[in-house]
Amino acid sequence: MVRYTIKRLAYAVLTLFALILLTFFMMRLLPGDPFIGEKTVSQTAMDNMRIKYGLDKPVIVQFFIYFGNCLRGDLGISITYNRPVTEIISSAFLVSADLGSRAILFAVIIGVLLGAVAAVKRGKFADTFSMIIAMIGVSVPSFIMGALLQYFLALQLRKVFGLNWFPIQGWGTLKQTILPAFALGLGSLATVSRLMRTSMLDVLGQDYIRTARAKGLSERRILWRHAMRNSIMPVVTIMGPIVAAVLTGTFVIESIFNIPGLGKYFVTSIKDLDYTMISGTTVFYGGLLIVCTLIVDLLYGFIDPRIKLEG
Amino acid sequence: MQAIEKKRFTHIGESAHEREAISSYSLTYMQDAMRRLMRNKVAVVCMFVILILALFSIFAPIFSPFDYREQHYAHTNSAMGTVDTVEGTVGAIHYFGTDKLGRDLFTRIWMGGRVSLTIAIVCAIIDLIIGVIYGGVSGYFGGTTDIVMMRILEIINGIPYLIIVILLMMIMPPGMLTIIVAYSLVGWIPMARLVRGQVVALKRQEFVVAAEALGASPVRIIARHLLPNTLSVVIVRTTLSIPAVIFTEAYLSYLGLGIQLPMCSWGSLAQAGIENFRLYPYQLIIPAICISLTMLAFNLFGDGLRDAFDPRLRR
Repeated sequence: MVRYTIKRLAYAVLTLFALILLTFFMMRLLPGDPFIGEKTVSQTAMDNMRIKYGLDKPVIVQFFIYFGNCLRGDLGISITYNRPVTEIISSAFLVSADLGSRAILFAVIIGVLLGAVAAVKRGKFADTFSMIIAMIGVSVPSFIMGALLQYFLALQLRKVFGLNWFPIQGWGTLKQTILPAFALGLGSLATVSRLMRTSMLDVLGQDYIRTARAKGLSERRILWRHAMRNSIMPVVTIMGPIVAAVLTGTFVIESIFNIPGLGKYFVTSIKDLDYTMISGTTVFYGGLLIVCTLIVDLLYGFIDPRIKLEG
Repeated sequence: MQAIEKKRFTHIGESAHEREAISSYSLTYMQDAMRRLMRNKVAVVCMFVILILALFSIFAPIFSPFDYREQHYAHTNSAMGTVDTVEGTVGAIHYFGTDKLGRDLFTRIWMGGRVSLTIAIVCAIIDLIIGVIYGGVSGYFGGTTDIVMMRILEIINGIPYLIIVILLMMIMPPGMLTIIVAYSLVGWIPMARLVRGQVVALKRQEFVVAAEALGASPVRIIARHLLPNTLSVVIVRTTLSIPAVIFTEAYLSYLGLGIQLPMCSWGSLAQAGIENFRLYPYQLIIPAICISLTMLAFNLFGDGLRDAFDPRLRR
C-alpha cells in the first residue's frame, strides 16, 4: 500500500513536470508576440516590458524560473489583465467548481439509482427507460444538450405555457444552476448508470445474495446493504475520468449559459496570446485533473479492503 | 403430453459414414461472428443508419443544385422546405432551409458530414495503427522495453488530452489536418493498452512457443501470430473510438478551434446554429441530430460487434 502510494505520487509529479514543460514550449512556438499590437510604444519601453515579464532571458532560464514559480504557487501576471493569474483563476474557479460539483453529484446519485433500478427490474419498463436515458446521454454532446434545454425548457416553456421555471442564462440563483448542471452531468450519468447496471446484475447473481435471501432478510435490506454496497465499486474507479469529463465540459456549458467561470478565460487567453494566462490555466487545470485522479486511485484502496494494491 | 408420432423417426441405414457425418457447414470464427451480428437487429439497423449517412455525405453535395458556400442574400434564414427564387436555381427546394448568409443548409449538412466522417475514420485508422504496433511491441518484448514504453504512455495519458489538443491547435492553423494530428497524438493510448494486455496474455501460449522454436522473427510472430488473435477486440475498440472522435471534433469546432468557414463540419454547423437557435431552432437541431445519430449508431454497432465476437460478454 505504502509502496503503491509512493509510486503513484512519483507518477503524478512526473506528469505534472511533463505538463509544465509541454505547455511552456508549445507556448513559445506560438506565432505572434504579445506586445505586437502596441505599435506606438518606443523600443526602450518595449525592452522594459520584456524585462518586466522576464522575456529577455534565454528560454531555458525562463523555463526553470517558471517551473520554480509554479511549484511555489505563483503563475505569473496576466499580460492582458495585468493581474496575478492565480488571483483571476481562484475567483473564476469557484464558480466552475460550484457548477462542476453540482453536475457530478447529480450524475453519480441519479446514475447509481437508475442503474440499480434497471438491474433489479431487468427487462421491464424501468430497465428500458433508464437505458434509453443512458443512450441519449452517451450520444448527445453536452453543449448541444445545453442549447436544446435552453430552447425547450427555458424559452418555449415561458413562451407557450407562461411558466418561468428556468432562466435562460446567468449565474447566482439556485434556479439558474439546474439547466447547466443537468446538461453537464448527463453524459457522466449515462456512463455511471450503464456501469452500475452491469455491476449490479453481476452482484445479484452472487451466492451471498442467495444466502441473504435464505436467511430471510427483507428485500430492501438485501438490495441496500448487500447488493448496492458491493456493486458501487466500479463506479468509484471511473470517478477520475468523470471529473475530467465534467471539468472539460464546463468550458462550453459556461459559454452557452453565460456563466462567469474559468472556461471563458481559457478560450479568450488563447486568442489574446496571453502567455502567462494560457500556461496558468493549462497548468492549473491539468494539475487539478492529475491530483483528482491520484486521489481517486488512492481512495479505491481504502474503500474496498479486498483490493490489494500492487506496487 | 403430446403423443410422439412414429413417422418423425426414420431409419437412416447402418452406414458408419452417414451416422457420423457432420450435418452443418463448419464456420470460421469470423463467419460465425458475422452470422451472430446479422441476427442482432439493433446492430443491423445501426449499420444501415451509418451507411445512409455516409452515402448522403458522399453524394448529396454532388447532386445538390446549390454550392455549399454560395450565398444568397435574398434567402437568409429561410425555413425548411423553402422554394428558391434566385436566378439559376429557381424552383429548387432548400430542404433544411438556409443559414444567416443564405447558404443552403441541406448541402452544408452533407458537406459537414464529409468532413466529420472523414476526420472520424482517419483518426480511428491512425489510432488503430499506432496503438496496435505500440501495444504489440510493448507486450511481446516485455521486461525493460515494456516498462519504459508503459511509463511513457502513462505520462502522456496523465496530461488531459484536451490540453494537448488545445496547445497544438494554437501552433497549427485550425482545420481538418490539425484536428486529425491533435487527436492522433493521444487517441492511440487506449488501443495500445488493450493490445498490450491481449498480447501479454497470448504470448505464453503454445503456438507462440512453437513459432519461436521454428525460428520465426519477432516481427513475424507479432504480425502473423499475435495480432490476428487480438483482431476482434481491436475491431470493437476502433468502432467505439469513432463516436469519441466525432465528439472531440464537435467540441473543438464549438470552441472555435476546429474547422474554419466557409468549410464546415457538423460541429461548426452546430456552433453556428447555437448562435441563433432562439429564432431559428432548425439550424441547431439538424446538425445536432446528425451528430447524435452518428454517435448513437456507432456506439450501438460497436456493442453489437462485441456481442458477436464474444457471446460470453453478452449482458
